Parts: sequence; structure tokens; C-alpha cells
Amino acid sequence: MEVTLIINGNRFSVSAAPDEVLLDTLRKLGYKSVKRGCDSTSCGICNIHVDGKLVPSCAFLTVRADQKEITTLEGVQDKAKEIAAYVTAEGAEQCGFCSPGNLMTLISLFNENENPTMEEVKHYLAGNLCRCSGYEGQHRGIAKYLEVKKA
Amino acid sequence: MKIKEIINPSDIQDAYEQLVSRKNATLMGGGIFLRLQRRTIPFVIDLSNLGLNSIEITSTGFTIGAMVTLRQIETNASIPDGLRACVRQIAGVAVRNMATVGGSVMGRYPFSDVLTALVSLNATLHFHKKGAVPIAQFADNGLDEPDILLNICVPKVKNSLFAVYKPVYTDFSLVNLSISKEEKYTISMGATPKHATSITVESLSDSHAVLDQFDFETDRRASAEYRRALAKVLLEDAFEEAKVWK
Repeated sequence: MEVTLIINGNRFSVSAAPDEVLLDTLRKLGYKSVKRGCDSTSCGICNIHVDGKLVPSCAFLTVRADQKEITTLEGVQDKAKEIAAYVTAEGAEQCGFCSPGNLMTLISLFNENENPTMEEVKHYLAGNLCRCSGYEGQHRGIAKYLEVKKA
Repeated sequence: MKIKEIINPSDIQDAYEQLVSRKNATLMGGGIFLRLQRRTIPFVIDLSNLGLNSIEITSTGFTIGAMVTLRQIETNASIPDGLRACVRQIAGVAVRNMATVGGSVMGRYPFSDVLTALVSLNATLHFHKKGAVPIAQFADNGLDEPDILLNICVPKVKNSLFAVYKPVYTDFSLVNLSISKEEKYTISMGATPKHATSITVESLSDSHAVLDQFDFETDRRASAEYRRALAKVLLEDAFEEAKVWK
């Protein structure tokens, strides 16, 4: 089926099978920040934004994304670098595999809620797994980012 | 999951005719559970283009479209507390942005948090062909013929709450319960591990007597005794919380 995708502002016409998911379409098009983690909607690593909503790209059918605005980490580099600097400064990044999904989730949160409490941050990040960090370092980094933003 | 053919109708009658005329037709709500199935689905009817994705406030309560996402419910401040609270720990925000209330109901998942809240709220399901079906009746018996859920009517209640035990924040529930108050109190208990059933009581005075009204069973996730012990604590806490209700 022919679909038009608007990825980070660029239009693509692609042919997609009925069961093709955005994860595969985006990787084929070169958007390699989108990673296959659990492949069962449990880990948050493949999270992207579709029409401004955070979704797992491993479950979002490409045919359902026709004419929709898709944002991947490649499309929000400045924002991502700004947040990631605080997380890496806490030594929270080890393998880095979960980072694109974490950052897309955090950016979605900050778009919806500019000044969340740490409780709200943890609630929002509850679907994003990280197998290296134990989350403490990431949470410290995010708390510092929010403090600096507020100041 | 493999899909051989998918259509995305914009007309409900068209969608319904496809459903009844094509053998093996499968309806797709949010698509989360379908995605996890290890099977080939010959023919999918995508319900995302039927305009079933809004929440309307009526004089008697709320009409929630079948394609309203769990996240829409979570973020809508007018929705009763019991229903809003039940979706908060269903997977992560990303999944809740896709998973629909209609999909949660139609799956009749025994561990469902949504079903437990809707049973306590005495919600009514509205189907394209069959019309109105009380949620408790649907939870017990399902449907006798293929149909498309259009919306769920949730009557206004004075108060409601939802309580659950999950081993991990976004896990499946080991037991869940919901209480709503209008004239009387409706208490529903689910994930026992069977789907929710409810009782109606005049007052919230004796949590032990209420607990005895529900059956708990053992499955691979928890024993009946463990579920009963969890439900006892959840009920006692819920009764305490409800003391301030007017």
C-alpha cells in the first residue's frame, strides 16, 4: 500500500506491507536512532512521536501513519543534546541503547508539561527500560536539568 | 503478527458489512494486543477512521468513544476518579497513547483494569447492531454475534476509586478492585484471576463481609490465598479512603 509519511518535516512516499510497522520503515529510510529492543511494546526503546503523541514504533502500522507527522530523535537533535548532557554528566549512560527512546519520552513529557515533578517524571518514564543504570543516575540528571530550567 | 489484508473504512455501516460478510475478519482498535499475537490474520478492519475517538460529557454522564485511548482517559479531568486511576499503570505512556478503551473491553481480558472500573461504574456498551449492553452482562457472556463497539456510556457518580496490586509498576494486576457511589455502593473485584464481578451494598462498614462475596483462584501468577490477602488490604484501604466521601 502506498503511504505518504512526513518524517522530521520531510515527505516520503513509501510502499508498505499491511503488517509493516514504523520501526522497520524508519530504519529502512535511514533513521537508525529508532531501535528494536523488546519488539513487544514493553521497553520504550523504539518510541517516536506521531502527530505529537509518543508511541512505540514497533506496534504502529505504517499504513496507519499515512499523511501523519513523524518525529524521530534525528529531528530533535538540539533538544536531545541539551537533556542528554545532564544525564551523561551523572555517569548514567553505559551502553546507550535505551537513550533514543528515553529522550523521545522525556521530550514528549516536557512538551506536555514544562515543569513536571520527579514523581510525574517517573510515572512518565515507567514504560522505558534501562538494563545498565538502575535509573538513579538518569533521575539525578533529569532533576538537575529541571532545576536549571526553572532557575 | 502477520496481516494479509487491511482496510480502513470511514463509514460504520461499511465496516459492519465487511465484518459480517468476511469470514475471519478481525477488528483492530489500538492494535497493541494484535501486535503481540503469533498468528497470521487474514483480514483486518482498522477502526481508526470512524470518528470514535472522542469523549463527550452529557447531562447523565460521559460517552466515551470505543477508539478513545487510555491516555485520553488518564488526562481528562472530568472522567470519574475510578476510571482515570485504573489506566495509570497500564504499560507506559506510549502504549497508552495507542491502546484503546474499546480494545480493552472487547478483549475481555481477565486481568483487565479497565473492565473492573467500568463494571463498578455500571457502564453501558453501545454496539452498532445490538445496541445497548450492560457491561456486567458483556463481561460474563461476551457477544453472541460479531458486532462493532461504538461507545461506552458511563453514568455520573458521586464518587469512585480504583485500587490495585501490581508486582511492578506497569505489570499486570494480581488483583484489582473499584468502588463507585451513587445511591448505593457498587464494589467490583477483578483479576481474581477471572474478570470483574460486582456486588452492591448500602454502606461501607464491613470489609470482611464484602471480601467473602468474591471468589479467588490460583493461577501461575499468584495463589488464591495470596490474592485474597491482597484484596483484604486493598478493600480496607479503600473503605478508609471512602470515609471522606460525601
